[in-house]
Amino acid sequence: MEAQKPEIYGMLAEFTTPTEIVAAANKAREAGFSKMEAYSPFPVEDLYEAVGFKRTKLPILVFFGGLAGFFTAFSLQTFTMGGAPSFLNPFLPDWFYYPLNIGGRPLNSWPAFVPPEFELAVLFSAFTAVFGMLLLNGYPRLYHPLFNVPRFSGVTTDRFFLCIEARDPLFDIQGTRHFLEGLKPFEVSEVPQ
Amino acid sequence: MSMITPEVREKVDKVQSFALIAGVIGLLVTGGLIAVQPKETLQSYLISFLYFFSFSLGSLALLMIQHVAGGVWGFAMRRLLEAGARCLLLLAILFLPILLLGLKEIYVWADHEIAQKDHIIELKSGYLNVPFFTARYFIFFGIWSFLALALSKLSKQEDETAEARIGFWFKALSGPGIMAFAITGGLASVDWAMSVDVHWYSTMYPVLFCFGTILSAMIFHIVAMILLYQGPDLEKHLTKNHLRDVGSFFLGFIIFWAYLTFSQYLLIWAANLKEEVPYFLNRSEGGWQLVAISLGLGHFLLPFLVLLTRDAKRIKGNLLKVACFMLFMRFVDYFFLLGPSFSPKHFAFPIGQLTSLVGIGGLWLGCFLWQWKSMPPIPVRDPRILQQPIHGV
Amino acid sequence: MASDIKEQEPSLRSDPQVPLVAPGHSFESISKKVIGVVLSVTPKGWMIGFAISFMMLQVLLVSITYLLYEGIGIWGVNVPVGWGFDIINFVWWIGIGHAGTLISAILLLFHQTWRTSINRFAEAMTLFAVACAGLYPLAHMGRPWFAYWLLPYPNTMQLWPQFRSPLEWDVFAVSTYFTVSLLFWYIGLVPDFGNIRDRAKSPWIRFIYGIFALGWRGGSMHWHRFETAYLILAGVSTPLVLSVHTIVSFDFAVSNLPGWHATIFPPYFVAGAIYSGFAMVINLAVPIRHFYGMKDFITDKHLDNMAKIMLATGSMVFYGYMVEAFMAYYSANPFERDLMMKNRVFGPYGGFYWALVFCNGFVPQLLWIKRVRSWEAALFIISLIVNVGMWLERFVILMSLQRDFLPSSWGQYSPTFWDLSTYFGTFGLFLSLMFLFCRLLPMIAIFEMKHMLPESHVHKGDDSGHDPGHAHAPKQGGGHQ
Repeated sequence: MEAQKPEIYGMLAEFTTPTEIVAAANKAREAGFSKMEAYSPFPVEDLYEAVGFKRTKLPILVFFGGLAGFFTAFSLQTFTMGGAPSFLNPFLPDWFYYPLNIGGRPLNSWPAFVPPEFELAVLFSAFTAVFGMLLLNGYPRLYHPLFNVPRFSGVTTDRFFLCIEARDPLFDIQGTRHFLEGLKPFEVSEVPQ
Repeated sequence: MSMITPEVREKVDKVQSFALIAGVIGLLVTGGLIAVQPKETLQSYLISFLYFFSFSLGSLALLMIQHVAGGVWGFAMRRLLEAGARCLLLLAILFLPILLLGLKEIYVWADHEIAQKDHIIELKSGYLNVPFFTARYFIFFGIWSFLALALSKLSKQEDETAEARIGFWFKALSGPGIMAFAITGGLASVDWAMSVDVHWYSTMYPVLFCFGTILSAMIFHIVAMILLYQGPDLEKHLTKNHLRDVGSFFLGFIIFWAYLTFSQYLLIWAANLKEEVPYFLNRSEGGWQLVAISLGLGHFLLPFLVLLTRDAKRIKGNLLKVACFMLFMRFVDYFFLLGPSFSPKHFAFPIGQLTSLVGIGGLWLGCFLWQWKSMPPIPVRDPRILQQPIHGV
Repeated sequence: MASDIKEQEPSLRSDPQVPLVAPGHSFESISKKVIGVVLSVTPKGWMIGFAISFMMLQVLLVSITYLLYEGIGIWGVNVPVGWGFDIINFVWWIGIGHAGTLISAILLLFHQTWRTSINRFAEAMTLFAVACAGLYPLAHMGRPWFAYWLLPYPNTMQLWPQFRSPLEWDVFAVSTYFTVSLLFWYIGLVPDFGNIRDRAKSPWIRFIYGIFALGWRGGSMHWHRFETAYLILAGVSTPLVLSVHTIVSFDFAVSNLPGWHATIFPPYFVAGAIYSGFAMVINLAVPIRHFYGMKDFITDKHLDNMAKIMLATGSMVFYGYMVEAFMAYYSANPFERDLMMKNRVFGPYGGFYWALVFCNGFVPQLLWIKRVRSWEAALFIISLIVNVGMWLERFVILMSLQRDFLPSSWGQYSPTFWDLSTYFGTFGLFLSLMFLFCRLLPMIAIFEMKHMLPESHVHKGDDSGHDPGHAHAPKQGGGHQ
């Protein structure tokens, strides 16, 4: 990995319709390219599969995030309010054991503990979803070599790009450019590192 | 010509006649049991009645909802819903044993001697009295039967004429129909179920009951669709997208049921008032607490976790398994609704419960299948047929 | 909700049969139109509107300052009515917020693509309404600088909050609601910030929006994870919005007070919240589509759909009133019956009850008529009436307090000047934030709108992929194997 950095980041082909970018990505994948990514102004159906990515595992992370939220609230309330089995109480730190008896409710008022449990489960799963997504995507990352290509700014408006990266084993400047031009793009450009 | 494949038709015919025979035998045995132990048997009969009644009333409600709200799920399910709704006429007859034999056995307020000594019942007697109760029975079933028959009739006309105006009439009937459903269904829940615990009241009850019928019907029709929609003509209306949509509804409805049930419990638990809390005390001792826990686990947690996964909603067999299990849990829910009121703090499952379940269930299922076969299984002239996804089967 | 979501993965997409964007738009023209509002010179109308709102906001600041100086004695609350305008307005504002979440989350899950053009400002409305709502409990605390005592944290007093109290549940619910709504809103904005970054000429504007865009590049896997996260957020927000107003209703219903202790409160509060929220969305959407010329995006179809939801939820609320009245009779409980008849229907505030029934029960029934639903002015007025009605509903519920169990402690409630000025001031806060939002942020979700155009769909089954005559079948999400 730590071999000398290539001079360029990759080769970028520009397209104008979602249908073209999906077809181009499919062809590039079939040609054996593996380190590439397609860029679009809005989510294009099945594009990530055409590029060769697998379905994200984010939902499973979120499930465990939610579970963690539930148990956080559960243990917070049950232990501090003295709802745990009494043999456990001597083991709890002082600051974590302060049963309140208000209105004659039982120490383990489990029905009353459900609302916070639910809320924290939601909160933690939302955090996992958002920050997990950003982390897996590698955001925030304000600088990226692709921004060196002036035309790339069209990606958020109406342009579609396929970038075959230089770290791809099949990558060589001439051949890849030639391959991309074969896909009938609007334009092909080099991405400086 | 027919969209139903011969194999399915043959099976349906077989199940239908078997169900009808079982139903008749079940009812006869129940009738015998009424002579021996009238109280327990009639009380069980009411529970079985409400269970199957929920499928029919829920079908009517879902039918009207899908007419107003649109959506492809409703299109595929429409004929099943119509058949289920038409069974309300059968249920009107099946209610007669309760009305004619069972009022005093089931409802304390119908017994003059007790009612006169009880101040609270006296205050309610303007509503809870036998003549008014009977009149309401006629009004409720009158309204429901009218809606079920009128919507079916329009459906038949649509098949024959394909007139654009019919779409308007569906909506014009269903909009007010949903309101009528909410009001009559709510009052019926008070009449037939809540007034068993004559001192008790809860404003959530009508909402929970009306929603319960919709939940029952939804689950039943998921099972029916998966089993009945076979062969090329019908299977194309049960695509993965449909399955996923009904699966999501299923999941959402289960969550909503848990939400309503838990809210009612929490509020009564927290207030701890003498006039309300006995309802739950009766249900938390003598074996009933196990039923309550099984409801929490089986009616909510288990199907919730299973339906969260992708495969449960995508693969027919899996969805069918969950739905069949939930049909059973629906019965547990109805059993838990009234069982502890009849036998507080002491679990009881009378033999009449089983026979009445077979009796009413057999007749209902036979009637449902007979009605389903009487019309083409897909409303081919419904404009929504154009929105059918063609691929992705 | 977690893994359920991945099922529905590519569903930020539309059914091409429904024209929810006026014809003649392209990807480029949508960006141009929506971002044009952000990057153009500030319009005069905006300046005037913002100036008025900002002055109203000063009323709030003065009221709060005086409150902190003098204490809550300046309000009309006293024994027996210890909760007054503060909780009425808290519930009213937070209820309004719920339509935003409903539009952005529930309608997304139901594949209701018409939500796309209104979800952004509906979400903004949610945030600002929750901000307004949150002020009231803080202000009512008397010593708001100790607000953090509400949070569960190990402190030197070794004391924990009372987890069995619905007011403590509120802390969890409202803070979670605000946080999740903010995340939902911000995540949806990230790709649009990227679009502004790429279209802006001025380097400063590029710099600022670029930071908020986090370096968004729109890679296919990024979009896939983005959509997954977005749908998961929608999935968890849906029960969340239910739970928030449910917990708000618990504030009342957990008590033993007749008129408050009703088990129907949770669903009926939720329906009421969505009802008033949609009324507010209509009240905002009608002027916005006029002044910013957004009629191409917020079409009559949108107003019609929102009116239908208002009709449905309004009818549910009316059903709730009927159930309450019936059960008061049926309960045979003298306190319940007296409350209904002698306090609500024919009591000192009976006029409010009837006004409430009129506003929430009868007026929205006009929406059965198609002509009313497609008549902008009528819709606007009905929505205003509904918002008044929903405020009255909370007022009527609150006024259960004025007749205690003990007649000697009965009392009346009337708001003071400071109650009214605080309420008036929160409108200033809400509108000021709304004006800033319209000025600074894309008020329509650009990338989602692009997805509504027919040309956003991939033509399948032919290799060249570019055949204009190829009629593709409408898709309904998740169709791939």
